[in-house]
Amino acid sequence: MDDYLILDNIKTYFPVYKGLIRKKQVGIVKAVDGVSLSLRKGEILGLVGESGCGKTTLSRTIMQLQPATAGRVLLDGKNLCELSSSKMKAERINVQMIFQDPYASLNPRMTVYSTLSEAIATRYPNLGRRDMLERVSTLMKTIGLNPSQMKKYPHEFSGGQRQRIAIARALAPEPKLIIADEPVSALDVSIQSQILNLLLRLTKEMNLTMIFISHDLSVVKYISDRIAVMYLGKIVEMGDAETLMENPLHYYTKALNSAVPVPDPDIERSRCRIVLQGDPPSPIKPPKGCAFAYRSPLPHTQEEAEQEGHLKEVRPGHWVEVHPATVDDYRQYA
Amino acid sequence: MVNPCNLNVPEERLPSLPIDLNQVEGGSSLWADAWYRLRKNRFAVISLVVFLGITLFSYVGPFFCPYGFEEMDLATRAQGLSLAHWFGTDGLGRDLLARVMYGGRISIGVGFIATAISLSIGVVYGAISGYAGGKIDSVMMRLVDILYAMPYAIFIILLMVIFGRNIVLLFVALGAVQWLTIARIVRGQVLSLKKQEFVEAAVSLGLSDSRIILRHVIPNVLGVVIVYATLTVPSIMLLEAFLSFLGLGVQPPMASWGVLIKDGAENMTVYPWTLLIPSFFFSLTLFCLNFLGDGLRDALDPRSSKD
Amino acid sequence: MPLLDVQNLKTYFHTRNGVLRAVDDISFSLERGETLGIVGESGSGKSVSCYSILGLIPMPPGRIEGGKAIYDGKTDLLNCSEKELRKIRGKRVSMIFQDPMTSLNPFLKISTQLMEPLFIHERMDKKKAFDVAVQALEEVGIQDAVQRMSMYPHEFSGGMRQRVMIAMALINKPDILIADEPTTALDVTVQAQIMEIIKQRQKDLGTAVILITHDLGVVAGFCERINVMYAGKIVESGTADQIFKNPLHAYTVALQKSIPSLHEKGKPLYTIPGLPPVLIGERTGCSFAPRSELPHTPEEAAMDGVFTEVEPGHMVEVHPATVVNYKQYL
Repeated sequence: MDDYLILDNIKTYFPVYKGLIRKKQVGIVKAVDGVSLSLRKGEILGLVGESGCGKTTLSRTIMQLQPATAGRVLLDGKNLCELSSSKMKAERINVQMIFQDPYASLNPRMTVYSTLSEAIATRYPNLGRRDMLERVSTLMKTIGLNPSQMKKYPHEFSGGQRQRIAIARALAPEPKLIIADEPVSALDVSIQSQILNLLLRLTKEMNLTMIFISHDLSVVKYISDRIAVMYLGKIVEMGDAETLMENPLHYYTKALNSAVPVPDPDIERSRCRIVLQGDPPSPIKPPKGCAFAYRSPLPHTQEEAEQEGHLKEVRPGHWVEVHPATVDDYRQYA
Repeated sequence: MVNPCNLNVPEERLPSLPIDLNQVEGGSSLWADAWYRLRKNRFAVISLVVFLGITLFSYVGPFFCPYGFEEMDLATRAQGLSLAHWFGTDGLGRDLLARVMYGGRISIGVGFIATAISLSIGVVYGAISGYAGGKIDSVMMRLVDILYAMPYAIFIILLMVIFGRNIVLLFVALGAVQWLTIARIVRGQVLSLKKQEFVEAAVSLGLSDSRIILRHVIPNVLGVVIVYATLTVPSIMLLEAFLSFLGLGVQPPMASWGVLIKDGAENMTVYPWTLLIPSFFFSLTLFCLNFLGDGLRDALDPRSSKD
Repeated sequence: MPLLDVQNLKTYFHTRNGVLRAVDDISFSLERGETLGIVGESGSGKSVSCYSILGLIPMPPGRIEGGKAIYDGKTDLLNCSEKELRKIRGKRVSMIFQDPMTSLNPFLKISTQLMEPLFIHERMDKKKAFDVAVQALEEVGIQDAVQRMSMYPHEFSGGMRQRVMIAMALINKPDILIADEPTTALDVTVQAQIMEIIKQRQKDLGTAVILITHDLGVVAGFCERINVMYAGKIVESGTADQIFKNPLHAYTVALQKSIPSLHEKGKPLYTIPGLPPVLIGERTGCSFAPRSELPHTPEEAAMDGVFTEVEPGHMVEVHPATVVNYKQYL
């Protein structure tokens, strides 16, 4: 098996309490509800979904910033959920995260040098000053910043530059897996392409495995090898990036795909959009059965809507949640 | 010029390794920026200068003053302002200038030392409580709530009565009641900082908790703490004056501004200057510290100011 | 006669570090019922230009240094009294903002917020205003509008709040609706809904819409005319077809080239070299020249570009560094 990361039926629930003195559990938010997937070494998995679908909770669970309620996170064969906290600390450097907001993800009181050297020291704790200086400058050059700016503070850089620094910090401990949580959605279009190029180049050069989280399908399509679409805590469709974009089966994926505006007036004018009804459901009160049914344009009965959908491999490597309200002609897959 | 942000620039056009440290451009930290903004604030700068002047006057002045603060000269009792006694003398013939200077030493000293004590307890306590969260946080904060509920003036008065009027004890007692608010403020700040992505990033680097608190959390809380501290100093000085006024503070013949004001108040119809002069210094100091605190708040948190 | 005619608008911010020229001499016009897109990156002045027209620029540090904004051939919005402006703002020109969370007052019921403009501008009685408000909610696709009226903003989802904002902005049937990144904070599927609603309501009411956005995809499907802004100036202006099929300014071309969806996988994305210019201080010459890949000499870069009509309705800032073969246009 060359799977580097395996998620096995991950569930992350948050209990909801009510009551002033004696707290009673009144409900559960199933932020991540049974997600299984695997990543090969060097692969880029795009994770798509709207706000509240659990993609950020899933990434925090993989990072063990949030304990999983059930399931296993296997990183290179080790189950991270069972590691003691001291062993986990040592393991952390193998998984690093890039956050969305380059203004919040860097400590405003630390220079670029101290931010990066701190991260390098987690892997190489006994470096001398000279070596550290050299490593920091190499790192800064790798991500396209001039090393002469290493004594500057985050607020002296632009958004794109800060995101570069954040990427450098994530790369500093020489991780094997990078989780990028909406790394470009806070950036301008012209800066966005610079950062995407950088990420692609680095994953290739360093043979990194990456989970790329975004709500922007056009970005995900460009960068990922495989794509997983999440809806209310579950993966509803997963497969090869090309297949999933050219030939999506789940109506949610279709709707996402058709919601992406195309910068071409002709296409836009002639195109027939699948506009979904309503908003994504709230995970506090999920609808019974299939969470997508009430937004789906496909005809289905109330009874059918209350059935659960099942994730099936309809083609090698292409998984879809099969349910009357999610795919055309669902019986063919049953 | 080579733009470092352009990845299309071939790598060899960036400076080669090892880099010359002299080429490293100095950055300007948020502290430096805040200092810059503070210097632009005319009132804050004047306040700072006046305050430093009063401090210098209190601490260095006595070396140039021919009279001691407890030196009585019954021959020159209750004299008005003169060349020999610039601020006059009190009812016991003690030189008021010397006493105001010595009183300043005690008052300012109490203010700063007690604030320092309350800061060190409050920041550490609040940071631990906020960072640990959960049960530990609840227990630690309930303790603060309980202490808050104690009438602190009575608490100090009891201490003074039981252990005698000891100046070191006074410092400690004043500091011990003031740390509660600081602990609460720091905890609130830490709670919101903890959710910040840069702290999460530090956690995912596997750094130790103490390092995260010391390097990532506390430096970002300090701005608020400094502002609060500058405003705590005058409130502690007032508290000390209040205690002295009640006769529970500094013991005679030692003097603080509170003691001097009390003495002056007793004789204000006869020798008004013995009230007016220490009151002037005391008010001026409080005034300066409050202005400085305001200026620091604007400087450290530019969003809250109008600029 | 255009509904809104903006001429030589200049909005500067006087900051500690110098004068920031956020909007530097722009002119554009808007016809009745037209949809105009203003596209640009953050700091290009796209929002500031519209805020200036409505008198929403914080002063100080902001200051409108010159220009005119003639509304309906009569009132100059930049030089009229606060009273006149208030009459126009909210009644004739209204606005929706990026974040529906912060633009509704969390302490007031939806009904109060919806009916307020009716009381102020139309002097309606309560009963009538309520009916109008309910109808406005229904028209933006909110079900159970009567029940919804007595709810508070936090009881609504993001998409619903933006619908309420649209209902509120259109309740007086304004002539102009300015939408400042109306869908940026929303989910993709909800974005599509909101744009549909704005389009639909515009058709019903004949309102002119100014759409401010950084997303070229959104303007392509929505706008008839597009202004591309860069560093406080309009660098290219034309119909959607002109801008997308025959872009002439190097910046417009580069923006379109850097969109991932138009890219072949595996090939690096096109990037615009360099960084957006610093807007503080005196600028001479072409702002885009340092980032342009078109060959030009330093002397040429120091020249000012000429905003020229190159074909009917298509204006471009013509400059050696911005337009290929620029001489043919001069």
